[in-house]
Amino acid sequence: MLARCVHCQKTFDTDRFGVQPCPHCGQHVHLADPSAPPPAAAPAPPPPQGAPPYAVYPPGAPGVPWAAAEADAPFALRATLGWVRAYIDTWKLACLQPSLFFRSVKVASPGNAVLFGVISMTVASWFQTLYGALMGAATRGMFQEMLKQVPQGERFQDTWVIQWMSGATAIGTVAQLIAAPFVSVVWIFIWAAIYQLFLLVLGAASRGFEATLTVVGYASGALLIGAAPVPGLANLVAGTWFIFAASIGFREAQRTTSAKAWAATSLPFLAVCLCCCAGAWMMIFGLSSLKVHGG
Amino acid sequence: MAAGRRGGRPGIPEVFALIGVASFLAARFLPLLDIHSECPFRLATGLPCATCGMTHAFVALARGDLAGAWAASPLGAGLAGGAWLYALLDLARVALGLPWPSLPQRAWRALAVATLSAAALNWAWMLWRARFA
Repeated sequence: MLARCVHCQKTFDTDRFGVQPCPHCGQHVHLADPSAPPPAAAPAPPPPQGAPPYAVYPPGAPGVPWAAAEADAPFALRATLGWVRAYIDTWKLACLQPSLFFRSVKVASPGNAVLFGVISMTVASWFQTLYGALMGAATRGMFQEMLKQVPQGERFQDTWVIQWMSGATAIGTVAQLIAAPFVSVVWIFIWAAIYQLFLLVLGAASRGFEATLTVVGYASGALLIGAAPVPGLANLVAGTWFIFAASIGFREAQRTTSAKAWAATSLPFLAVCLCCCAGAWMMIFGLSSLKVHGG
Repeated sequence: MAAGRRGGRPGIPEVFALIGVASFLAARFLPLLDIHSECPFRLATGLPCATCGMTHAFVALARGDLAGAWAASPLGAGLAGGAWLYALLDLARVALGLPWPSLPQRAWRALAVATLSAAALNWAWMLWRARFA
């Protein structure tokens, strides 16, 4: 059969479905099997007359062989692809092509998604801990100076916050390294539950908690950006990217509208993390004060 | 949340049960209240955020202080009690080999609406108490 690569748009012949490398560009493409059973809650529409058997084209992208039928993510095929290749391919799909990826990824077994998210968050956390340990003294001085500029910031002086941010204690550093995977698991499940609450209230959880957990797990791959050596900014970019990927993921995996998906992602962020917003505002206020005083 | 056990392996409900158990152990045995943290929202506005008092509520309830837990955060007390009760029931269900109860989508939705309404009421109560009580 004839397939078209989503990366280079060139066509090639193949005799099987599933993840396979494009002979032109080497990128992995995902050819879903149209004979696979469709999801029970929202069965895929039958392919139109004359359409090739391997593809159900997503709207607005004619010729892209990404089927609406469910298929394994590359990370689920890590035994054959190898861990690194499977992780990188899945990361690219989940974070760079979330609409296509979450539309057809299997949601019945979210264990792979959770493992993918835990790996991403743990690696990011380890790097952040490493940076904290390396830049301990400098970070401590910077934060203490910044807190002097923040209203009531002196209340944070000499607290665990400063110690934690500066990686002041060796025990604290080791504890962070050990706790990272466990915290990641709890984080993924708790946030999936929070998102599921809002999706249920909005009537946008047609495919159940497994779909929500799958989206949160794979979208957590974006949090790997937090491993970049840019303290603060990396986490901000990672968090924003996660929200975008998760919103698109909810829309596709739960077969709902963009408005409901974005609402489900934004409302808990606004409601639960209002204090984080206030904290970010205080940090920004403190940084600008530093700039003014420094200039 | 229709996972449950598949082929005898622990599923999503068991993971949440373990998180509930872990939260009890942390609240009961770790010195969580010795960690001096200030809520940035409270610092900036003088008012409690939606989750203020949760840690105190969990710790108080883990030590059997129901009144203290309720005073810290009614939602926190309810959440802690609910999480630990759920953990016990789910672990008992697994031990007895019973299936995960199948609830219709409408029931899950009603539960979600009730939970979010409780959270909103709790925050309104906390704000009212901080302002007028």
